[in-house]
Amino acid sequence: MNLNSIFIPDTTFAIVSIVTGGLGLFLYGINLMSDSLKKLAGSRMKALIAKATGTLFKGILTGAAVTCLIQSSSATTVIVVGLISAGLMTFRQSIGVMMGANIGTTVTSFLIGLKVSNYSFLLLALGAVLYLFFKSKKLRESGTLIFGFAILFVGLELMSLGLEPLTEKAWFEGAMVSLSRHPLLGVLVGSGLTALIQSSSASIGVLQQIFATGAISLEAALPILLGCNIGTTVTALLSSLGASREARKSALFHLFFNFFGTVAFLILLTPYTKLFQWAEIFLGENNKLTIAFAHIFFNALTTILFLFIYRYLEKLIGRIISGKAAPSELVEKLNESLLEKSPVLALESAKTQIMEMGGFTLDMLVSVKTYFNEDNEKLYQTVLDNEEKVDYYNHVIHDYLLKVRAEEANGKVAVTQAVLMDALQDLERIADHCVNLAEFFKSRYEMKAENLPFYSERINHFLDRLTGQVQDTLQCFKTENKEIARKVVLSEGEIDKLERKYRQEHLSVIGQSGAGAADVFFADILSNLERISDHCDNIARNIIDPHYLSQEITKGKVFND
Amino acid sequence: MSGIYHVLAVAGGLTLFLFGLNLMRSALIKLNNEKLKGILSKATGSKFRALITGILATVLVQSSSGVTAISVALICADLLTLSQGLMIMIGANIGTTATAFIFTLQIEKFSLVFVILGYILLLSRKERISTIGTMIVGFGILFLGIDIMNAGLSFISESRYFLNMMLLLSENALNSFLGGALISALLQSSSVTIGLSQNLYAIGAIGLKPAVGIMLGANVGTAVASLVVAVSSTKEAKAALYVNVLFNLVGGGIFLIVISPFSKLIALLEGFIPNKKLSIAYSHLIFNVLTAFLFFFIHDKVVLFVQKRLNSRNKLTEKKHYDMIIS
Repeated sequence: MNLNSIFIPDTTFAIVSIVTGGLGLFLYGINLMSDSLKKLAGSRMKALIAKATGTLFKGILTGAAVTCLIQSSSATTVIVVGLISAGLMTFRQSIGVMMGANIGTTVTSFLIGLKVSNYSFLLLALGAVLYLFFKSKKLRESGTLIFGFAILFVGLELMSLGLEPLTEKAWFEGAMVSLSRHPLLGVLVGSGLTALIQSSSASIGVLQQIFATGAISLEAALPILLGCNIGTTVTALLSSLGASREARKSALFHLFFNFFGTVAFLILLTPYTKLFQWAEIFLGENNKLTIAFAHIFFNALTTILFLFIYRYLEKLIGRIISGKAAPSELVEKLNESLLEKSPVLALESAKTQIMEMGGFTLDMLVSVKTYFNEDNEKLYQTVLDNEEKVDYYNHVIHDYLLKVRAEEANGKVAVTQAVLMDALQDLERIADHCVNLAEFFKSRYEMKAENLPFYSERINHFLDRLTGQVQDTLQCFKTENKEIARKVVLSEGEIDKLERKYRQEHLSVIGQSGAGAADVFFADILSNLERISDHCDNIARNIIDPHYLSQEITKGKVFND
Repeated sequence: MSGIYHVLAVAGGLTLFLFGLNLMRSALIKLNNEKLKGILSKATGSKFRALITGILATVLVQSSSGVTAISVALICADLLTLSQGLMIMIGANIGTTATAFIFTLQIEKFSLVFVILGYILLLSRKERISTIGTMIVGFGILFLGIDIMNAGLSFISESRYFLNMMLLLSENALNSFLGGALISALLQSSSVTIGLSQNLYAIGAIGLKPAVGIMLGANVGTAVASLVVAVSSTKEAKAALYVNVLFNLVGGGIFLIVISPFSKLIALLEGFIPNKKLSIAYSHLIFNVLTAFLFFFIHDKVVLFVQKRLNSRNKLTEKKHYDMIIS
């Protein structure tokens, strides 16, 4: 049995519905697959890209790897645009990632080149088994992934079924002949189609399928392939429209990169075609893999080419989108020249930025509380996004503070510098504890743990106290008000007592009704909450007595995990 | 190899069918969620009104388990009484029969047209339109699944294993009943099980009586599956779910006893409208309407009984809860 025993492309209507319906299934399958991949990867991909700020080479590798994993260069470039808009990345840092995304996206065409069509039903069933019979979110999501992959192939098979009778029609042959005669037309078709469906993987997949039926020659297929690479840049361009100047530069770079690559290959179209005609001898005629190889060849070669000339392109774009090259808002605010001129002012500006970072930390705590009471994935995401910002701030401010040179070993500058360093570290640790909390709450939701009023009352109360404490801490850090600082220290003592009391109550619940009636995460949640308070205490004590830390360190009393 | 391939085609088709149905449902629920909660919580007043509300809501979202879950949540939140909640669940049992009627549509080749139309809508930036697109894609995939499943079935319907399995299933009414319950518990969907029975009957793999038996079993299987919601609900809501399961079991049992005359009645109807898939849809509707009718009369007594038991237990548990708080 085959699909052709169900769908018979006999009438024009049948052909159109089979081809377009197959296309719909194929695109839907790709959507499903990349959605579940994104869900499986979570925010890790974003964090990975944000960290690829070192060398150009590192950027290329990261871009390629991430795109391979989420199977969508558009998704990667959109993430990059988002990161730049958030000030977590600069245009220059994004260049490598953009180039890597182009290489990574070729994996999809190799997957499509696989001959799985005989097993697509097996994959469907396998995906459904994973989805239906397993409780674990990961396994279920993997089931959806496999299912999407299988739907993609069912769609491809249907498309080629409908295309077969088309290839014999005179008008279709005519269109294909004119495509092979006018490469520019092919480029236009490829970019138009890709811009329309916003996915080069999808349009190249369609191209591969048509190529496999023998309806289109290699001469006509290659310009379309090149066009697909241009069309895919539209997605990032669209998402950068409202974004910052830096983000627009990055999207424009992606367009130029693919555009100039295509121009170079159009000039060398004849040898390029010859090369792959030769390759067909090994791969066999009308093999989908030929297109896949041509695709990776184009992207790899363009990337190598641009390794030498990307600096010029960068300059060109800098000229088109004018305005000074702001590395990042934060780095701009922490003025390097202040370091020399006035260490006091440099410390002051670092302090302002630490306050800003403290604001993110407070936001995280508030989001954590809301997330505890409301199962909303967006809130969890907000916490993680803020954590990224806090990490970045911590990193940049830390480097800046290190550069401040104190003249006297124990002078005011040196003491303030130490206090700021400590506060920076404490705030960063508070943010980490917030992430821990959010993760505990997420696991509770995933396990569908019963929300016992006994526990939610206590956790909410604790979170309220902490929010107040963190607010006070930021206030006393900003104003250096010792009165507020003492309040924070007092409140830390109370919170410690509260923690001990809750712990005992928790144990008595277990003692009375067994561990089943107790919240499994409660003890962990409590210790994270209590530590946040400890870090507030550290900051406040430094305000009361700036020499506090240096004294306590020698006594080995300071809380530092 | 080709035998395995056809079995895989049946499994794959079944999966597509199930997936399409789920896609359509979740889109429908997303479209109507707020409206639904409003409608359901306003279903105060008479028993009859609650019943009608249950039917309408289920037809609207094509999911009895969805409506059951929402009414359980509403009972937990004290927005519905036990009595109203029960009537809505019974109404949901009737409403869900609409799905089997949808399966009888002959859209065959159009299934792919739905997929592409839906996909185009799905690309819309407006959430509502893209949800409608998802619904249409789901609808198309559902029928594509039915087509693939049928093609596979027609190929394997001559194999010995398949015939033996069908013989076993049709041996007696209890076998087909248990088979239906098992399949629907496994696939977690009574609708798909009923769809399967419609198709097996339509291609002549099984007779009318086993097809009806599978349908009856599917009803019980899905009620048992709804107990999953009970884990985190109040005692009242739990009681409502248990009554619903019990009610389906009793109703299924009664019909199992009278399955022969019932099948004859359906066969009579088939004389007028010769559509085999439609016959199963009728039988599904008649079964649920009759059992709902039955329940309508004993409803007051059941509620009274359940409430009495709950009250006596409440005193105990309240005390326990209080102990925990002061400790």
